[in-house]
Order: sequence, then C-alpha cells, then structure tokens
Amino acid sequence: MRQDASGTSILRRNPILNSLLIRKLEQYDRLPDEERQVLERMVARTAVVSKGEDMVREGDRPTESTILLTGFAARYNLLRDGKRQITAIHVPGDFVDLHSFLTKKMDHAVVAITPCTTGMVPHETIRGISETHPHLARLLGVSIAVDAAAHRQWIVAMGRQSALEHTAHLLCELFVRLQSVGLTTDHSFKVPLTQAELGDALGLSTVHVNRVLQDLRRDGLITWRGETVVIEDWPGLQQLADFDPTFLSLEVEPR
Amino acid sequence: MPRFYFDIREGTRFVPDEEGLEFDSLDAAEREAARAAAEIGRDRLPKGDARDITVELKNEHRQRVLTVTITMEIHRVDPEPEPPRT
Repeated sequence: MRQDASGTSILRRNPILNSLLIRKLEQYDRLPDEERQVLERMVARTAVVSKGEDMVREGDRPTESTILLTGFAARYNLLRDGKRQITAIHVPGDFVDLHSFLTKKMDHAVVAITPCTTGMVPHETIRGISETHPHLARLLGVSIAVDAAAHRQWIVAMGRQSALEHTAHLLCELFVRLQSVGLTTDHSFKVPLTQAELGDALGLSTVHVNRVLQDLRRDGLITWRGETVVIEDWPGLQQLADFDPTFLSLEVEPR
Repeated sequence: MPRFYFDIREGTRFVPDEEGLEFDSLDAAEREAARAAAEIGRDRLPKGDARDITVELKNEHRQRVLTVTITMEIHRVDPEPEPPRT
C-alpha cells in the first residue's frame, strides 16, 4: 500500500468519492448539513492499494478505519491449509473495518480484489464524533450492525441454500448495495470477481461456480460478460434466492 | 500451467466446460474434480432429479484423463412381518 502523494486532494478533485459514504448513511436516516460536513472532513489521508494486496491485515491493531473510495475489496480468513473463506465483499462507500475502532485487534484481513483507493479515518476522529455528534455515531453504528446482518444472511445461505440459490442471493445483495450508492445502470452492474474468488465467497469449488453461473444464464435470470452482470429477471432472481433486503436497513427513519 | 476441462454429467444432462481452468498438476485437477462432484451431488442427488453425477476431467487436448462419479442409492426394504403375539 502506498500513500497517495497528493494526500486527500483526490477527494477535492473527486468530491463524489467522499459523498458515497454520505449517500450510504442517508439510506438510514436524514443527515443534517453539519453532520455531512463532519463526514466530508473525516478522511485524514488517502492511499492506493494494488490488486491482491491486503489493505488491513489479520492481527493488526489499526489506529484508523478504512473507507473504500474506489474498487472492490473482500474480508477474508485463511485456514492453516491455505484455504480462504471470503466473509464479505466491499463496494465503494463501505467502511471495511469500522469495527476495528471498537474491537481493536483484527480477526480477519481485507484484500483489494481490484486496484483500490482508500480513505483513512483516524480512530481519534471517530471517537470525537461519538462524543460531539451522537446521532452521526449511531448511524456509523447502523453500518456496523448491517455488516453483522449481512454475515447472518451469508450463514443462512451457506448452511441451508443450494449453490444455485446461494449464488443468486449474493448477486441480489451486490445489486441492491451497489444500487443504493448509485453504482448500477438499470439492472447492470460490475462484479470484478473471478470464479475462484466467487468460490471463496460462496464456499464452493471453481468448477461448481462455473456450473451454477451457466444455470443462472440458461434460466434467463442473468447474463455475465467480462465484469458486467445484467439481471435479466429481477423478480425471478429474488424468488430463487429467497431474497429479502430487510437486512440492509435501507429505510430512512429516526435512529 | 496446463489447462483442464471439467465436463459434468447429471443423469441425462450434460454440461460442457467451455473455458477450462489451469492447475499445476493432474493431482490438483483431480482434487478439484472430486470436490466439485461431491458439492454438486450434495445439491442435486437428494432432490432425486439425478441418481449419479459424473465429472469428466479432460486435458488441454480435450482428451479424457479421469472421471469422478458420485452415486446415491436408496434401498427401501420391506420389514419382516411382526411375529404374532402369543
């Protein structure tokens, strides 16, 4: 990982990047201007992370939390025999380790699936927000709670759904999350994951993932070319996946 | 690294592998084929739409180098009639 020589100027050049987190938190509740300004100021520096590089390592004790500004990242754990389980996929606007502010030592790592730009928010800044802006702190808490809710969904899918249903569920989740930060066009979105990476997220062999994607295509639910997924039959895909977006808490209400 | 193709037969259905995958050895490709067959069998066999799943592993020339077959057999047996009570 290297520090962006221009510090946070990438954010001044591209204010849209900083607005993704604002947009994400606005899904949960209204944000007064003052809270928006706090969010706009909280990134102390930015960094560029190469594809395949860890942006947070297991065992680290981070003193800052990382927001993904561009690119895709994944939380993962490695087993002793080298097998990898991806436990979450992160898209721009996500904090990849906001929980490290509270839990201190990382029990998992976060890898850049694509080249990424990240914004670092010092834990001191988050502590300050928790003391001076309790409503904003609660919204950051919602973000941590939604991460946990997504893990529950993954456990249910992994434990009780067929590979086909589980894969459909992951695609539904990614679509709704990317849509919520404006990163979809109609029913089309980027999924820059290889079949091996999907297998690590789904707990499946690459061959089985390939087989399942062929079925989703054959059944007219999706098309997948290069990195672009198009959902051809959204109600059909949701029904197959038994997908209910409640776990994403995408309702504006007082929190 | 050599490329291998994993064609799948589920009962009467045949799903060819168009793209293939690279593995550093036949042993590694065999492990992937075995794992895939077991996973697909776990999903499909209890549903009863196929009674066996075969993964046919082919080399870069599309020649078959091994097959892995997972079969589910269910046997119903008629229990012995209960002995008459005395």
